[in-house]
Amino acid sequence: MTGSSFLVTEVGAETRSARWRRIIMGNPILLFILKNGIVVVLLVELLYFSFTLGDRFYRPQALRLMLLNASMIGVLMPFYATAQIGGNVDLGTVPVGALGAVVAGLFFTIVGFPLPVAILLAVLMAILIGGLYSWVVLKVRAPAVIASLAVGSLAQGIGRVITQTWGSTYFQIEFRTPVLRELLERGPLNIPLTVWLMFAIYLVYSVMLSHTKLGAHIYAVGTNPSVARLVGIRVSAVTIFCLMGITIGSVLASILLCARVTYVGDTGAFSAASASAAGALAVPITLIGTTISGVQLRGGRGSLWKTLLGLLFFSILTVGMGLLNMPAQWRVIAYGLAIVLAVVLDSIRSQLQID
Amino acid sequence: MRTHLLKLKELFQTPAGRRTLLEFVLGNYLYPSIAILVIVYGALAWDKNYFSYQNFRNLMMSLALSTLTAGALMITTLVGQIDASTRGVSGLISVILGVLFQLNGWPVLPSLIVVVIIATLMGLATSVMVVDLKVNGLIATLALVSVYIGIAMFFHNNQMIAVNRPQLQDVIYHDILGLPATVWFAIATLVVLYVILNHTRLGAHIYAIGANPYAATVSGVPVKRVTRTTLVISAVLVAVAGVFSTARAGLTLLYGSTGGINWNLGPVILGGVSIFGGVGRIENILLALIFGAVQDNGMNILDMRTAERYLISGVTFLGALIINVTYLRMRKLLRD
Repeated sequence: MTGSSFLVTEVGAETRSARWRRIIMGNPILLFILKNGIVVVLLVELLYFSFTLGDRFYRPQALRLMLLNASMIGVLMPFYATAQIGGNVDLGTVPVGALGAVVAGLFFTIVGFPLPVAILLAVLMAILIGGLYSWVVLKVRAPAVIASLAVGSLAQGIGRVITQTWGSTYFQIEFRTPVLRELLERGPLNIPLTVWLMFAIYLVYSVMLSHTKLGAHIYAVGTNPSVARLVGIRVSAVTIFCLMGITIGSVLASILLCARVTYVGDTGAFSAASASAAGALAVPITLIGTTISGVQLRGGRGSLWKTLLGLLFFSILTVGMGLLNMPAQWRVIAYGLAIVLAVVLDSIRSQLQID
Repeated sequence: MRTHLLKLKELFQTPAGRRTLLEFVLGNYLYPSIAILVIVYGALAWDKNYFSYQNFRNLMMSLALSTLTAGALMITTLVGQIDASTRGVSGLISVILGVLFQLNGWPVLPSLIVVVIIATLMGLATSVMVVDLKVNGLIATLALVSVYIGIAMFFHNNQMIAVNRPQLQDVIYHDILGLPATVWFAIATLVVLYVILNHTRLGAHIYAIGANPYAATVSGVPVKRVTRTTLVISAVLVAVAGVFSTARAGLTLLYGSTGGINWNLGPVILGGVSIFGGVGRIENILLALIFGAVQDNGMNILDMRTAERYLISGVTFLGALIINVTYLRMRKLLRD
């Protein structure tokens, strides 16, 4: 698969990748770093903030904030990681999620429907978008990476039509929901309910991935869709499950985020809440999180629980940098370097076939 | 006459005929689409001097800008590595130009030379990730966008710089035969790209790599060098586009004005370039660019809201993707 076989010039000569593989396999430290890059960067980050912030970093409030921040994207992460394991890299979570939240805001604030109805309508919108997305991927057979860009572009257009017609001059609609705010503030053990919700979704999805037939099928489709089809797996059904999961998950996560910032907008609250420099990030934070946690970009490999570490890395970064009063530039650079490191590690792992 | 009618009947009634018909429509729909757009916008904006020389000039200016980014995206897409770093490259280049030319008062030529050198370095950085570390081009370039924009945010305390020294505009809007220099630059770029792609070894190699990188490697095509070259050319073209749009707006572009990848990839796939690499002709891209420029110009002259613009660009991108992949599959130009 690596295409390196024809680079062997003489019989018995070792290819360059084979030599690197031998060196890395023989060195436990290098192997650990390659396999668990996220653990290493998380440790470095913790050490850095411990030294610079000291006690301020370990106050219960800061820890609570880190968990809450993590849960905002964390409720989407299992859906996203599952789809990536199933072979679909998605770049449309931000605009699609934003559109869902805008629909919820429109029906809740402007029309005046009860919150559950508004959320239900947002989920319906997610299903429509997810259906279109699945159709483009399965029937037109465009790769998910491009299809999600195109569908996201359409979603942003629809979102902008709504916010420009009914929203403020900043293309925002107010979204004040005491019920959802309650979820973000209260919960057992003084940990907000959204954090518990995140753990619940993680639990359900990890059981699904590792202990059910569907989970095995997702890994199979991600590894090799043609072979999966030949052995009788319903590839289309698995793909629809993955893509619908992403769109519905991103709409729900986006609604939670918007409840926190009390408005909905078409540019998406994901980047606003996580990077504080909306528009500066070209890659959805979920993709950085999964890839740096070792979910393979080509699909078929990855562990769900490790992505929790990826989430923690970002939320600790946001909170730590906030406490240090670092300017937004540093945060954008840090995210940028994290994704560069993540994709390079991913590429090295898959070339050397280490997993 | 009778046989012609019979043939026409065959075209509509047999499956093979319908297939030929669909293939013909998908291959040529851009010509009538452009004509319809011109008629519709012409009628709607008749009283706003749609058919005036000034509007033609505006149209050519936006066409020139989109030609540069589309040319950049096209050659990288042809080798199978979609370059999504347009927003980052043009944004950082614009800020650097603002700092050198406006704040430090450098003359035009040295500023432009430095800008091109920096763009070359950015192209090389992309190529290190794509060629040497073998990261997928789309993902690698998207990753670099965040780094580039992060760097750009450090200059001038993350504020926009008003680029209003007249020298830059003088060069860029300098009229040659009634059209600004930008337009001639874009035309020259198109001609050079056409010659490179169709009449040089580099062009043949680009198509070969995009069609099948493994086959290209075993046939002795210097895959690494050719891919690196296209990525550098792409970065330089995007940088020049960044300079042009900075001069046009009179402001540095904070997050890159040439739009994100979803604005730039649209015309390229609308022009029939395969997103899988190896297929696509520059003549067809030009047609798609004219379509885009007429669209854009019409929306500008009618003062449409951003809502309609976003919606139209989204619909165009999605529609282009569907048509592109369907057409390429029909002509059996894709490996499954």
